[in-house]
Amino acid sequence: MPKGKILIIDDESDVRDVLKFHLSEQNYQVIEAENGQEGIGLLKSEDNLTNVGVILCDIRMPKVNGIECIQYIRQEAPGIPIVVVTGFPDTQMAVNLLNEGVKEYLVKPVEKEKLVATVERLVAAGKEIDY
Amino acid sequence: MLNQRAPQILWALPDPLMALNSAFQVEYINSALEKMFGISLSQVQGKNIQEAGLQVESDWEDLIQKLKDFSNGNSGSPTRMSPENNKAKELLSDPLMPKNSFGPYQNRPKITLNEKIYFYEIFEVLDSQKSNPLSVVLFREITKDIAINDQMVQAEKMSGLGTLAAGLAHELNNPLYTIIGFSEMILEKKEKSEIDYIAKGIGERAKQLAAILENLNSYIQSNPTDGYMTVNINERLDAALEIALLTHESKNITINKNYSPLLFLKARSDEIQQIFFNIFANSIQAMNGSGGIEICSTNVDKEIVVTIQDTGEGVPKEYIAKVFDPFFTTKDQGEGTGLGLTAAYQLVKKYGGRIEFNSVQGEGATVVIYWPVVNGSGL
Repeated sequence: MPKGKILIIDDESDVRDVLKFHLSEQNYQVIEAENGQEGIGLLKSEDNLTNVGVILCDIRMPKVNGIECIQYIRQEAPGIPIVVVTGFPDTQMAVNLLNEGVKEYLVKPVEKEKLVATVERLVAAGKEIDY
Repeated sequence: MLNQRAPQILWALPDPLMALNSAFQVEYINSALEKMFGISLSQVQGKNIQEAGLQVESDWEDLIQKLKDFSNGNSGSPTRMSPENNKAKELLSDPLMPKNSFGPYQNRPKITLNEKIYFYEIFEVLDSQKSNPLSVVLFREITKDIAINDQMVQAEKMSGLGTLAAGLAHELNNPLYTIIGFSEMILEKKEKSEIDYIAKGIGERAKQLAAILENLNSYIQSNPTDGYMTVNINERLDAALEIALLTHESKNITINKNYSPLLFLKARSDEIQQIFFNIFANSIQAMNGSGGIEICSTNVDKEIVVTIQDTGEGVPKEYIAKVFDPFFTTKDQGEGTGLGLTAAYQLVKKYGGRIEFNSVQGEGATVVIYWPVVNGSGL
């Protein structure tokens, strides 16, 4: 039985495949978008605003980039925890994003155990708030 | 009358100035020069410049020599040095250091006095009978300009390093993550077709890593004279174009060539081809499969000039100044490393040339490369 819905926003389909592979193994239902614009659109469609448990978001993307996308999501859906998964090991950017309300800043290549543990923790925390 | 006040103006000029006659005797100095040397006009007037008690910390002999050359007519433009002197230094300099700390004054003659740096120019003044030439030396203090320029260079260098490190991390981490993840997937999958697909992905990502490193290598490499040979520019253009067209699966691209014969450069053949390939690859990518490339090679004013023009989507105006920056790209991620034009820039410079980029968004881009022709034929 699926544990929850995870939205992956990353412009590289290979990277999405790997993230999806790791999360599907743990029985998460994964939905994907390839840029910020598509991510926001997907988040607004169906019941995703209430059912997406965690958003995994890249930073450097065409059209709407990760920073813009995160700012938007923080306004429209402040309850959904966001995890940044990026190739940039940038401390200053990480601090800024964490101040913006991002829950975790993971640098690729991120280990499967760390990714899964982060998502599990955030999904569990989200449920605690609900009840 | 303004003319009557000309001596006052000259006297009050904030830039130090002195005039010498053909016997190198001091005829005139203005108030700024009095202040600069701590000496008065009456103390030096009529004295030979060598005996006038004008002392500086460095490069005074150079100034005297330039004055002599100037009055002997050896040098029509005494304030200009030959560019060859600086070429060797450029080749050995830090690849991330965009320019020498003197900036625009780099090639100008300078003296130092009381820890202040002055650049100067020499010009000739004739009387109304067009005789009795005076050599006039006009100084300008550039200490502050140099300090500001130093800061800018440092800032540029740091931002260059930062861009390089961050760009490199990003470009390498994405394919690395895919390779690691895909290899984990192979262990789990049982279907041959799935495994084949994933294995192919690993190979592609590994090749992408290799391409990044290859471009990075041409960006930083500093083996200045290895394997130099006489390179036929037109041949390299053709070879680079052929490879670029093959690798980018381009179908509807018309090529227009306009080559001048006998253009040669003493260089490494592979590097010249790499320059052209990087530019062609950009052009072809920018045209999304259809359009035209116009290639022109010619010899203008002792320079080899290669122009490559495409009808692609071009680059927005605000990005034109950045196109040679490492890892700067207007392409979507995965389509470009942002190192192609950087590498081309470094290689063009290596052979004493310069490269210009111009573009109107939506109408295409033009790259022009200039190389100095040495000994009349580029050899």
